[in-house]
Amino acid sequence: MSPTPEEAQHALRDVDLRREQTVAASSWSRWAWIATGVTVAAYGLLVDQQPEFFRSWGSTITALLLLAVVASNTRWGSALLRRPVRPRTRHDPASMLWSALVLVLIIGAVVVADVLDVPHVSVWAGLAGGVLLAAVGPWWQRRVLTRGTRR
Amino acid sequence: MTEAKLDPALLDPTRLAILALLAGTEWAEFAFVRDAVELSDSALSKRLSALADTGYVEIRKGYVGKRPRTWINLSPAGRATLSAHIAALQEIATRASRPGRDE
Repeated sequence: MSPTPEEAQHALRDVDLRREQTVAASSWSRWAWIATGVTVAAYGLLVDQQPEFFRSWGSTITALLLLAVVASNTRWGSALLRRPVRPRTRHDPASMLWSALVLVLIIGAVVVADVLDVPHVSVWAGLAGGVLLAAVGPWWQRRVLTRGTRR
Repeated sequence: MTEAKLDPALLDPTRLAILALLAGTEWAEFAFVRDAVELSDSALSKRLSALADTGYVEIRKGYVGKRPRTWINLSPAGRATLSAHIAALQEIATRASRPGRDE
């Protein structure tokens, strides 16, 4: 038996509600983004103030962070981080191009600043990266997740 | 473009809710789906078994530490069926807002 238009509209509203629930469960909280931004800024400060420490431990810290990111996308890692779903994301060439452009601009600015001997480049880079993550991260995350659940 | 086709199994709101939840995920934990659709463990297990029998969902069991966990994902067949069902619902809903509809 076919549903009435009203029943169909009700079912579609419920589908949208379920998709919102998935987005909410997949998202990192705003505090997690702020903490990540603070960590990035602190890392930049550490590189500037303790270059010896960075030379000894920099690659290890980077490798551990990459490992944590990879692990967080597994069932096991997600369970440990209390993230009950792994979101499905759609590959959008335009978004990937924009992300790549922003990354190239940041790396380019750091390289140029380094060449021009701007003092405390790593502090400024860490600060810029940290503020970007804390401010834009939640918006970007929602955009990516919403695109993945669009009907 | 998705062909619109109603699936009788998805006229049940709870089954539709489960598939809609899973649509935006690669996989979801059993507990998340249970809490989202507000079912008991046994009631959700029954629904999931029925959906797995029709090939719409895949169920995977494992352990995190010593705790047993169950993960559910939408199969490609389930994803296609859900898309077709939603497209059919949209057609029906749109018909209501079109002028000069048959009543």
